[in-house]
Amino acid sequence: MMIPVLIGVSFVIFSMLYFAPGDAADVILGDQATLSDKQLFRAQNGLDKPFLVQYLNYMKGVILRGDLGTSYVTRQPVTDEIIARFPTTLRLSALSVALAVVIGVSVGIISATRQYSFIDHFATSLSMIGVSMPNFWQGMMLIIVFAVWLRWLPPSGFSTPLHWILPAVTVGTNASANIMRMTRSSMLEIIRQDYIRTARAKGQTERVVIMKHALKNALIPIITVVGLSFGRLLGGAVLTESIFSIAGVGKLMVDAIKLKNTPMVQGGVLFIAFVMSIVNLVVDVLYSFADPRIRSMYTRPRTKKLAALKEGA
Amino acid sequence: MRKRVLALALVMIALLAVTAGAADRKLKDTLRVATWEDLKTMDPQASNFASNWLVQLNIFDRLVYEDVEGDVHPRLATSWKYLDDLTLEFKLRNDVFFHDGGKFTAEDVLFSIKRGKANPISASTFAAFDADHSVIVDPYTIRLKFVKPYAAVFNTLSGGRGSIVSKAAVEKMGADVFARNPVGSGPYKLASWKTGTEINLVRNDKYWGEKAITKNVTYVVIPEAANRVIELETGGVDAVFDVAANDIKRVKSMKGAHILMGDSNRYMTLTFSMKDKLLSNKDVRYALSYAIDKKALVDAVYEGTATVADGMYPSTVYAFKRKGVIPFDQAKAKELLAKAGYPNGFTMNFLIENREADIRLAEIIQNMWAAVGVKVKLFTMSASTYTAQGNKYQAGMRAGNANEPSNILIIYDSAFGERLEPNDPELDKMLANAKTILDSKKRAAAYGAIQDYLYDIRYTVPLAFTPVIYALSDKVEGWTCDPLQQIEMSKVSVYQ
Amino acid sequence: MPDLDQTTVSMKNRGQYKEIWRRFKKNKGALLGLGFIALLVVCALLPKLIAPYGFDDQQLSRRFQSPSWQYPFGTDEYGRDIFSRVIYGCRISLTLGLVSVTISCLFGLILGCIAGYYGKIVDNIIMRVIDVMLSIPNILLAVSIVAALGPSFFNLMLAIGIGAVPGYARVVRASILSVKEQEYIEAARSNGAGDFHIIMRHIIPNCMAPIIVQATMSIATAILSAAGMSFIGLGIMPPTPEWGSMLASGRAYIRDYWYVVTFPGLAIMLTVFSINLLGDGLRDALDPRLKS
Repeated sequence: MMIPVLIGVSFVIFSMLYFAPGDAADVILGDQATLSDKQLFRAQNGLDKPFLVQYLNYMKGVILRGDLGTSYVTRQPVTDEIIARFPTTLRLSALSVALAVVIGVSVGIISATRQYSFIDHFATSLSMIGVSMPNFWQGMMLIIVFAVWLRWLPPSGFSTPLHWILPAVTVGTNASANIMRMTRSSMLEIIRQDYIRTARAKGQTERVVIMKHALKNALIPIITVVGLSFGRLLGGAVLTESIFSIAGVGKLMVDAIKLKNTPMVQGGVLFIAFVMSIVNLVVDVLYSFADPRIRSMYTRPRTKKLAALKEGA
Repeated sequence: MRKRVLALALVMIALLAVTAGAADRKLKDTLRVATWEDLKTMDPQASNFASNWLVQLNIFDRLVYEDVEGDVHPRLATSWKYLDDLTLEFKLRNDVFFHDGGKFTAEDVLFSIKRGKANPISASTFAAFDADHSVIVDPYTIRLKFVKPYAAVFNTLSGGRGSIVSKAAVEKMGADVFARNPVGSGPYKLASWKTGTEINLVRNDKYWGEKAITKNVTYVVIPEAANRVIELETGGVDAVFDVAANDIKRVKSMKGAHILMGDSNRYMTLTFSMKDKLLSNKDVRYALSYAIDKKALVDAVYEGTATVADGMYPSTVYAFKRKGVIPFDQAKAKELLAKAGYPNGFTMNFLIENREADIRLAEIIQNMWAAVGVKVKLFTMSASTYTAQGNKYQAGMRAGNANEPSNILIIYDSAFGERLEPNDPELDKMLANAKTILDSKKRAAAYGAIQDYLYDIRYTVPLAFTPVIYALSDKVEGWTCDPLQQIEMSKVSVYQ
Repeated sequence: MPDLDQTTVSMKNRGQYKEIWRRFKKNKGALLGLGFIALLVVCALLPKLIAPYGFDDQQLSRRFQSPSWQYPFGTDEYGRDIFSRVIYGCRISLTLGLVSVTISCLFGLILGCIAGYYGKIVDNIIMRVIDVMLSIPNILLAVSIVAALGPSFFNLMLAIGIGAVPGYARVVRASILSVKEQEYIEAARSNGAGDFHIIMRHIIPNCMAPIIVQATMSIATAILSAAGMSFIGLGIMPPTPEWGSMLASGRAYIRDYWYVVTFPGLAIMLTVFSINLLGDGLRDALDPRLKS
């Protein structure tokens, strides 16, 4: 399943960049180069060959050698550049998602169990505000307050754990809003179910009822949203990376697109697509732990049923 | 007698106190500097941007150093003389070692020039060099030959692309690996490079010249101007390259930091495409130039730090001739437009770089031209994308930055193409001729005549001479206010 | 987002409309959202009546004025009245939201219909294409499209619109799948109704509910995406007063002149917030099952 999707991604991006107007030669050589200089550059980089030839050469490199091409600008392998920056983006995404899950799930549970209370309304409003705020604006505000006025935290960079706080909060609070809402509505549905009433009637403490019975069953949609968020964060931390001057993959991509550094863009998007496929895989595995119905799928022809369940979820 | 002893004792105590105080001034062993973008490469002959050169100049040496006055000082070359108009002989130092231990010889000089010629990025810089007929007389003597008499030779050899690389290292590693692992002979070596984040240099203790004062230099990459200043404020860095005009007030009011501002070789100019029917009309160009209130423009965008351009290129560049500021005269502008056949104005494309200052200048100009009926459509993208989308050049804006007239006037060359395309054979002749005049007085006169011509023909309208602005912690010393942002870190020290 | 695939509210029944409106009215938040949006629409349609200045009246001598009676939101770096620019910006943002959502809706509807109705191989292919689109992060996809086509207002809307297509396609497809096997479809078919007819008259009306909710939410996302794109520098060209580009250009002054960034930011936030309230209200009103 992954392979055709990845091939599709590579083809789409490759075509978009190929047919896009503008040429790496002009951008990279700058306007102090003559026409013949640019022709030389094009020849050196294989930019003058026809479309399919370029695409096939590229795919050959990717599949056979894991070679995602060579950046026009730095002349280093794209793979190296991405791998150098990927841990940073991964760390930012992981921290943000962790923060989002912790805040989102706990607040969601509280909201659901005390529906229509002050806390519920407050949390819901706050999460709505959080979702409505452009997150780069939020980042800027956080820098002003915590780095400049209070001097508690550093304003940019990503080297020490102290540096991680503000960016993770900026990205995490946004994601936490979605997770909170999903947790809340999912829990609300479950709580009305009969088996919850049974558990309560049996004399279980409220805490056990919520955590053991309700939460477990509410997990599937929550996991879906978390998985989606992580995927979104991976490529989408672009704006946050700009504000905090974090050298991550997202910013690398945007700079590469602006400079028409085609190999970098292709390689980067392919790489991100690959990682997102893996995340989806992990989410699928988590499903099977969370839901015994799905676990049982693994003993019979499961593709269709799994897909149906996922669509229904 | 007692009084004298007492006096002496007091003096001794005073001296001790002072020296104790001075001894408290310990040097830090790492200087942290904020730069605005990461290097694309460490290869000097493959470099195109100031952000590359300001780091490279500490790793590599050049043959000579041409200072702001135009005086040429020996570096790797100890002396030189012209054998004839086309041959320049250099005598080289025999005590220089590269960072990998190899010895510097004339082979490395010729190699560097040859690879400069071969690389499309720097080929035009070395156009006048005739590498094939240059001769290595002995390991420390080289005769460089030129295709035509080349007045700017010392400027080129003193500039970034003239950096001398180790032939052995490049041949062993290959250019691509060398770009990440440079081997030069300069006062600093590359210790580590975290792409996109920071570059660490460490002192070269075997340097042939004065050893660097500060052991480590770290260039921290911070693309946002405001963030750079914030880092200075919070002590994250000791110095900042490239301060935005609106941060100047803040730095000045910061305790423990100050602004260092000086003339630069940088200027902003409007360019008009001569291929365009509208703009090839001289009256139209004059009208557009009169419609801009240059003083208000420059004040608004640069908060008083830049000066209105009163010549065709920056006043710091050789042979600058003051032509005066083109006056602001809306009525005359409208009159000229009507005379040219456009009483109701017209619509025009305006292409600019996607940089803060450029965009601000353009928005104000757009508004000023609208007042005389010229509607402007702004495009912020690279030139190649612009033309590839089928747009024609009309008006544009560019920043010029060079300390040598032939470089700064390169945009007028017919061969340069794009955007201007003056296709003016007379101008081409004047420019080519000026490049070959070796006599200083005659050369200045030639460039003066060129500037007169350009002012009259108005292919371009220079707008502002922008200063170079650094923000430094008060604990930093030895930082010169270099117009091209080429700071020699070996001379910089920072205290605790 | 809890799905509405199982909703089989037939919109043809007028009594149902009244019922939906009644439920909607009960939600105070939704009414608030609706009210604010109505205000925005008025500003979008009649900016000249409300804004005291034009959106490009530069007064270089009046730069960075603090908010005052004359300039309620202050002036920006060219001396333009920020309040007027925010008002003119309403039209840009709402147009952006509506057009990009229409584009997504259209393509999503077509793809989802074909996939859901015809099933099997066609469905599989279309779902794979959607997977491909979902594997490319939205903002990168939009940036690539704008970089490829060139920055213009329409291209921006197109780029943002295309990014949202997968969401719609999936919703439509799910709706169709749930409805496809129903009896009245069989009945229509046995009456000799053609595929197209069935799709148009029976299936699409049944997906309207989830699509409407999705659409309201997407308008909010579109506005935020456009702001983000302007921030990177691929958005709308000056001097157009788009709120996101006002944020981007005001960013450098945030510490000295907070109002240059705050008011456009608030405008975005309140607009998106209102749309979300409206969307939530619609969703609750259209699917009473969730409220029980």
